[in-house]
Amino acid sequence: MKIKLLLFAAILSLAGTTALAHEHAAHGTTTPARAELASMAAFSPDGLLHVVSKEGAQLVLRRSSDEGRTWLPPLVVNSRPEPIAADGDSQPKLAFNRNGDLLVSWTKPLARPYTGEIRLARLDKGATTFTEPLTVHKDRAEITHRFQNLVTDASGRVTVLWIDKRAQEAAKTKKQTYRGAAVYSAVSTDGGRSFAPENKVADYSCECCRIALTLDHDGAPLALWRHVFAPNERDHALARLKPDGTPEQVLRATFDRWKVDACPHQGPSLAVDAKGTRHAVWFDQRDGDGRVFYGRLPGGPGNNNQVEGQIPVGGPRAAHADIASAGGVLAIVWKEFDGERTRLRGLRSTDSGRNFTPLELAATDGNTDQPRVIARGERLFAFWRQANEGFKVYPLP
Amino acid sequence: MRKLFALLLIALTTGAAAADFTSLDRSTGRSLTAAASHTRPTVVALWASDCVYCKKNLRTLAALAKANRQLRIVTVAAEVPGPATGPEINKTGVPGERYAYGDDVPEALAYALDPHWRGELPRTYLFDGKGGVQAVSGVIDAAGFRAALQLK
Repeated sequence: MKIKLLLFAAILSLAGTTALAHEHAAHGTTTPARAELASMAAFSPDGLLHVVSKEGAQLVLRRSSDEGRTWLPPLVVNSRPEPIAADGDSQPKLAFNRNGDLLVSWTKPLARPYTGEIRLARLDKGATTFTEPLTVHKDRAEITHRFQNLVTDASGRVTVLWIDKRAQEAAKTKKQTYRGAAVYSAVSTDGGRSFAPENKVADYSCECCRIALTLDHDGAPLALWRHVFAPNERDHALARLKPDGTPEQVLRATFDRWKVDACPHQGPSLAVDAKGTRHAVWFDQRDGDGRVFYGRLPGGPGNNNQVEGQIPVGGPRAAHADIASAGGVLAIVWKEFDGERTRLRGLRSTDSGRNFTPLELAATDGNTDQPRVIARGERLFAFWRQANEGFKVYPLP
Repeated sequence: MRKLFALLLIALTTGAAAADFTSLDRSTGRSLTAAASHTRPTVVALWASDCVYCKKNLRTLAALAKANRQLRIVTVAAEVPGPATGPEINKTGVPGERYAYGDDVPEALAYALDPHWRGELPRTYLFDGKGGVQAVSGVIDAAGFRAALQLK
């Protein structure tokens, strides 16, 4: 009887779905698919372009020796399909270890909405299959571990950072208030084969923005994220990390004082140049005006405790900027909707951000990912995935 | 048995109907936020399912709607609906027409809704029904809604 009932219920629910699908078709409102265009690109130490993107329940690695004109056969990152976040600020990330091994990290969403685990898989140099992915953190609670980023250093250490809500969940249980989320880190000293237990880097980060992560002038990991300063100022915090991933210093890095209880969905980007100067781009509201800004951040050699040279980047609809420095050139790219098309625009400076010349790089009618600036040796390139054009690489002057 | 079937059918159909979203197009986006479109107190609330602050606003609006029958509420999910989108808005109890982003370019839809909006959520448009409009980013409390909408 029970089985019969279950069967009936199953048939009924199937019938219901079909009827609904028909109704949708009749109204011309079939459910559209999520774009999930978030991709990441980097050149390997030997100059091969590597691109990671999502296809179904798998991440796929594509490689090109001619800047994206032709591609080698793709490799699957996670042979066993699993949920993968690849949308907006939720991005897969990749980094090369000192011996040329490729590390790919991503967020695996769990059943409860907006929870996740930080995953990492490795492709050893010369190998043709990725290792079985591992979960970076020991905490297995079904809570937010999302918006991961990773960096490798000259000693072979791998440092992963992410947005973590365990402190927020604990406060909620005790009926205490807690601003936003927290930033956590985990470090591997065996090339990403295993990770030491994670550390809290800082309380009170924003919940929904990517974390920028690079190396400081002396090789220490340096992270920049949107923070919630008391009572609710959504500015940015900058942390230098010790080798074990704990913070050596956490500084307030921007002073725009955007007081808002909202999700901006727009994280910063950070670059340290050869002289050790910290350059950043970020989105914030300042004096009521929401803009992308460039500025040199406090705490580097020669910087005092203020942001220097802060200027708005692009027009009022500039968004999701990225920054990198190589060969004496500092480059910024961003996307900007002009009312009809989405443009890829840029700025180039050869005097450490004092003066910039504008770059007009591309435009498209379709959907787009956020653009990136990537380096091959001393040369900089823009990388921009467009729904209509695919993975496109633009050499920067 | 027959009773069980009937219950199951009701559960199925109401669940589906409540989670239904109309795909937003550019011209609907433009008219939703044009003051001239609104001749009675109206709130157009932009939200996303991963935005806790958005759901705070939607819950406040659900309570306001119960006390103010003349208040019109329109919600716009600034995301292509996924499995969580319907359940997340249902939990807030907010009534009114439900739009969501569809196949069109998200930047184009955002621009159609409001060229001055930069994507932060919640974003709320408060129309007093007499030509007045306020655009607010972030959490709004019940008193804030009442004042902007000239409700009792």
